[in-house]
Amino acid sequence: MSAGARTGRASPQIWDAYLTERDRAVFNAAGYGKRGDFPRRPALLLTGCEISEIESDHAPHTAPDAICQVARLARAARQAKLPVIHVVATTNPPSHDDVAPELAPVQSDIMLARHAPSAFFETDLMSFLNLLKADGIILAGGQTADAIRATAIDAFSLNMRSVIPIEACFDRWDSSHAISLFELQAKHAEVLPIAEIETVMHALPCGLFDLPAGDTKARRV
Amino acid sequence: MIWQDFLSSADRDRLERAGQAGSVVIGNCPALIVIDVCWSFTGDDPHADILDSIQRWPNSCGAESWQAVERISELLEAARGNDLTVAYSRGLARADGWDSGSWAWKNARTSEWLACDAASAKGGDIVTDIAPADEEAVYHKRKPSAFFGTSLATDLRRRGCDSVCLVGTTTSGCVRATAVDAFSYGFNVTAIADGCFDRGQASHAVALFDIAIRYGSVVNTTEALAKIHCPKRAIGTRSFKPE
Repeated sequence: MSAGARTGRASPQIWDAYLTERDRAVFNAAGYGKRGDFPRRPALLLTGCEISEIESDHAPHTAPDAICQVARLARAARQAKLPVIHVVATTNPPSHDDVAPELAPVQSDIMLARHAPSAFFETDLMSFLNLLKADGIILAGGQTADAIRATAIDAFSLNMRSVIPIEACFDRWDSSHAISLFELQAKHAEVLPIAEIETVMHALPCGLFDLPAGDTKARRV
Repeated sequence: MIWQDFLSSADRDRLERAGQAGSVVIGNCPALIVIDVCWSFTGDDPHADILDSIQRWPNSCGAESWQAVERISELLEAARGNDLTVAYSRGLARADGWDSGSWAWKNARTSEWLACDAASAKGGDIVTDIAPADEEAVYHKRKPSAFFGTSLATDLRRRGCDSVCLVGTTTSGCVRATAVDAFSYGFNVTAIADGCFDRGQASHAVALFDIAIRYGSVVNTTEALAKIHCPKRAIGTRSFKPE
């Protein structure tokens, strides 16, 4: 069975050019790449979308397009009343101004700071996901082989489902980007075109979440 | 380096331009961590073709496993001779498979993982050639990283370890996840390329590339042995430019 047949997607994939013939045969024979379920209560998690990251000299040329796609997902999530969580690699507490203007946080958004690749590592992300009773995350931003992947691996370890929109992720290195997406779709996550994710988002029942409605800014208590 | 053939031409240009000077810092008190080198990942026939081996051992990484086991053997001898901390990890699951959780979401053969263990009664055992010594800790884990749900980070700190040297399998799975966590916990990370193995050729190469450019350094056994034999002088620098 081809990878396409197993996952129900016969279309060419970004990782095709990087795999050897043996790789294709081995991953299929080992049983990896089965299509998993979409989370029933997903939160959209955005990371690596800081202005400092996107405007740095190291930013990949694919970042601006990907940020537009991230913004498109954020709009879809807010419309479907799903939680939008910004996990920002800056000072704690993070500021609205840290995030790319296309993604400007709104009142129902949640903001957290991270200091390691994974959004779960020494953060209270899981506490928020528990509060929301979320059972999975849709992960967008950058970089694919760093924060996105590390967060997806921690979600996997926590038995949380991950969904990764192909067009809304970016990485400085083409091969790292492609191979991370390949491995994530084989072992840990649903790696899907953004349109497919939007469709699922809009088909979810209304009012799944009790979202915040006040000021997103943190204050000392 | 091994990843050269798996990079896009744009990546190769970028690497060339950037120079990517990565420093190799093994640290003053490294621990050698041997990740998941169990029969279920090596198979039991060093000469079997990987695709044949996978029929019986779904997670087999084929002949490359056994080349790496030889390197791990050499590294273990040096580490033990120099009183370095040695730790192992291996997978753990309930016999009824109920706790496979996320593993079963994406893999169609997880039920065989346990069956192949029961059939041979050794699938989840560490390969005999590199079996742990009595005083060496074996961390049992359910998920990729050897740090996840284990006391590895605390134990390393208690022993005064400042760095980890990683070998084992799979390079892109459990080794990479352990490298990312070690980096996040503040340990210096070194992956020993020829002591790691993976079922995927591109996965193996690109995981090592990612570790080298983002999380730590990548060396071969020869270089690691030289540093293990004189850990106090283990700090040096090296370029990751293509060799």
